[in-house]
Amino acid sequence: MADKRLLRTQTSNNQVRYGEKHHPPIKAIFPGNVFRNEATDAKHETTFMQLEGLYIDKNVNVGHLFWTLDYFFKKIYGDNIKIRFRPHHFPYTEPSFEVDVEFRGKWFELLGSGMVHPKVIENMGIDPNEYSGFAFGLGIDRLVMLKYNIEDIRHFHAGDLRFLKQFK
Amino acid sequence: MQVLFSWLKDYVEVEQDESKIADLLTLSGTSVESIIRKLDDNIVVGEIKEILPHPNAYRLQIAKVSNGIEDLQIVCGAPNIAIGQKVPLALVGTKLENFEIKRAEIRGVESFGMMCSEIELGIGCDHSGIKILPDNYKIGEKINKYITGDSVFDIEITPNRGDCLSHLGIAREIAAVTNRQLKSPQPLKIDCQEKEEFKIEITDIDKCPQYSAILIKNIKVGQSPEWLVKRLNSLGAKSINNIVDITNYIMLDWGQPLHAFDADKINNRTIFVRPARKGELLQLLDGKTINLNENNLVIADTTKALALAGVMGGKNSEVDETTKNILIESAEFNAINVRKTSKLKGISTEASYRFERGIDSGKVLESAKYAAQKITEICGGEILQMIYEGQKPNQKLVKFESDKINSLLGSSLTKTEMIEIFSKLEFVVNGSEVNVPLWRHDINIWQDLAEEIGRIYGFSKIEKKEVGKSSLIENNEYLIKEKTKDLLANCGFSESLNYVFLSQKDIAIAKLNADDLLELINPIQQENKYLRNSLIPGLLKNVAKNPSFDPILLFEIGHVFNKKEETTNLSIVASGKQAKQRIESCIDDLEKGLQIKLKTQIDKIEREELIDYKIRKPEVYFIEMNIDIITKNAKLTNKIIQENENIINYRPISKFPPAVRDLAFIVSKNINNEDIIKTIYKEVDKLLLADLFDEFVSEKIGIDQKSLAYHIYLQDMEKALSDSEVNEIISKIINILKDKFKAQLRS
Repeated sequence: MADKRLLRTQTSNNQVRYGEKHHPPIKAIFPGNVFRNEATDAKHETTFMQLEGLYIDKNVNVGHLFWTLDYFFKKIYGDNIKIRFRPHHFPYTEPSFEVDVEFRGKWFELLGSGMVHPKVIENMGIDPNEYSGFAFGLGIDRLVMLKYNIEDIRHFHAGDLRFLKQFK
Repeated sequence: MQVLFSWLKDYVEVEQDESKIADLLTLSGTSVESIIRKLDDNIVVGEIKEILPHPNAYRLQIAKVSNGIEDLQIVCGAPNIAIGQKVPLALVGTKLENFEIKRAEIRGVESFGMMCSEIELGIGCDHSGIKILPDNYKIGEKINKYITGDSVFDIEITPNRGDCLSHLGIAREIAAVTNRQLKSPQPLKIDCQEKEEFKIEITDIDKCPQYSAILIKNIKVGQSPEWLVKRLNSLGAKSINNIVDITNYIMLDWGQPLHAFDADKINNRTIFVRPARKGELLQLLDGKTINLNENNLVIADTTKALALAGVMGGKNSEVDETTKNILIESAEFNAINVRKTSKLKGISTEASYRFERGIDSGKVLESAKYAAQKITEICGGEILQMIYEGQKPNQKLVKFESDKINSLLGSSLTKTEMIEIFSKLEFVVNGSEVNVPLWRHDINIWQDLAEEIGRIYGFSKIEKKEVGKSSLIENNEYLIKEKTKDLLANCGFSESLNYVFLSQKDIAIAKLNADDLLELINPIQQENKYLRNSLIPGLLKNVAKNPSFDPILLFEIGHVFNKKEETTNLSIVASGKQAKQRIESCIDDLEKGLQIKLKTQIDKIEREELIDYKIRKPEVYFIEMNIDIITKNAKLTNKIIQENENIINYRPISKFPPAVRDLAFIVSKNINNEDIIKTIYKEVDKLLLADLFDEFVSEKIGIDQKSLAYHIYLQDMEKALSDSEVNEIISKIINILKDKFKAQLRS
């Protein structure tokens, strides 16, 4: 916009905003719409919903992250779902992981996560020597598309009752 | 990044096959996206059934080769074939290294494929004859089931891992995850005459910490040897000439971008590494001329710029077929500066890509030597001078905190186990510190070391640990919104999520004042430049879009914007059958369910105005309110969000409009609506939706009976359904429900 404000491209900023105002233990999720400069097609959208999660406490470790995401995906896709944690790189977490979920014999990347970088914890005004935590972020649209085998991401914003009523 | 599997074997010997190696790499952070196998599926095991002389060529023979189904006639020039042999048979359509097998006529005889030698298969060097296969291979089976050909790994390298942009780097990862010894390149000794011919001066050491060059005289520019061309081609790189090919080869091998200047095109035997002058022009190797400024670093001689540092060489000093003497450059350029230059000039090259991610600071001079060695081996010439300017990189030490690493990973590794993992990655532990190799620019704090430990140890071995539950905040805003949605959905309203953008046309139709709206400077679609200040225009568009539904019941909870603030609104619209009553009753339900009082006025849009929205209905009713009215006042009695118990069987939506019929059935009271819907869904593939719109019990229809009424939406993905097709499907549904549930159609 002319006043230099921007339609947000991700929800990650909520982590620091929330962390600045709250003391650990922090357990929070932040859902919200985000906007991207994308050419739209069946797989790409300019507007979609992200879900961000943050947990900060004493002695939080990778095992807690794995448990949480395992629990989450089993709740969404059922107990038989196979998931894997693949080391990756994100600037705000260390170590970082991408999480893949298996559908029809193929792995689908669904989520980015990791242990919150000490610098980010420090920026919340929290002592990274005392506290640690994990964070994750994922696109809700893709999560739902895989669950119901939806062929086109644009259905979510089309206001088409033929689509909406199938999920009432 | 693409790597050739056989090339990796220069540095590490592995027992596992490609797929296993790919999995190990993926799970340790270098994700193998695909494996491109070089042995085509069209090459099968063939058996030679018959051999006849070629009528027109005494060196050729005609073989009849079985592919397991039929005997194919193959013209062949190899001397070593005999009846009964099993051979690799490339069928028509096979893609080999440089060509595709086609049906051909060879000296007047048709040939339907090719028998292959080792070299043609790309699995060895033997070109003396056809590769004869062992007897136990099954005729007709794909050859790649038995013989592993070469493969290319397509790997996603994250931006922090510049060290993996080479075969050596990937081999190092493989060695670490397979527990093998990496065959590290040994320091090179080259035969240099140590003449003093060229001078190098770096004027900006921050942007170029190291610069080395080797002068080689009397080389012969020409074609590269076959092995070199083959390796480059396998990775999609074109062979240009032996000098350029060698520099490209070394970049792919070790990750160090190199550049070769024609030494005779450099004025006064002087190289300056300096900021460009404002307005200085340079024609690059790709022919484009760029206008430089002080922020760009150039390689120059006394009179002109020769290259854009770390990005691309210049045309004026290019190596061509007449070149006799060359100067090989191997340098380290500042990652941030290369990224800026590359981005601002819109030029991205294999070299800039690597400098941006950080090269091996310890191998700058060594790479120049490697190039000199290969060049003198392949192109002849003698090494006259070797120059190194700049500052040797400092050792990087990071504190080794084994307890902290364990507590972050949730592991319980001993110090010794950690040291062992470090040594696999060539990290050297010195007491309480870890000496980080010079190719790992991404390792700076103990958390970075923890990641290294975790990914090589294997994150799959980390035990999952339950996180304790915590209670929800009282009257959580999010929860109230979700409750509101549940209540509206239970009243038959569907939730819409419209885009926040409005076009000029939208605001004209809705009679909104553009001055009240926030405007985007750079909208994705030029016409959608306004941000909505109401949810109604979007919902009315939705009403227009769904003419086959009656009633149309929609709501949205979404952000709206004006010049002062951003708020969240709730809007509800209804059109068609009993529209007003439907809104009234859902407001009732909201008030009861959330224990609030809503002073809402239901507004109405009349037919004339609706025409502008392309809505052909007598009226549309709507309300809109700030959601705060609800979230600030609601009291929740139960904090559980309703789970959708219905089984959702999603069907994709046809481009063609649906056909809609209403059906009402009388069934026994104990029959479940869900079972009826499931049955129709299963039996009728053209069913899009069976929407229950009415359910009642009445004495008129009988005791223990009930009436269920459905809107049935039918569609076809390929066409609009005709009346007779629709009628046929409808009678099918009636019959199925009659058979299965004894359902009686109400007339």
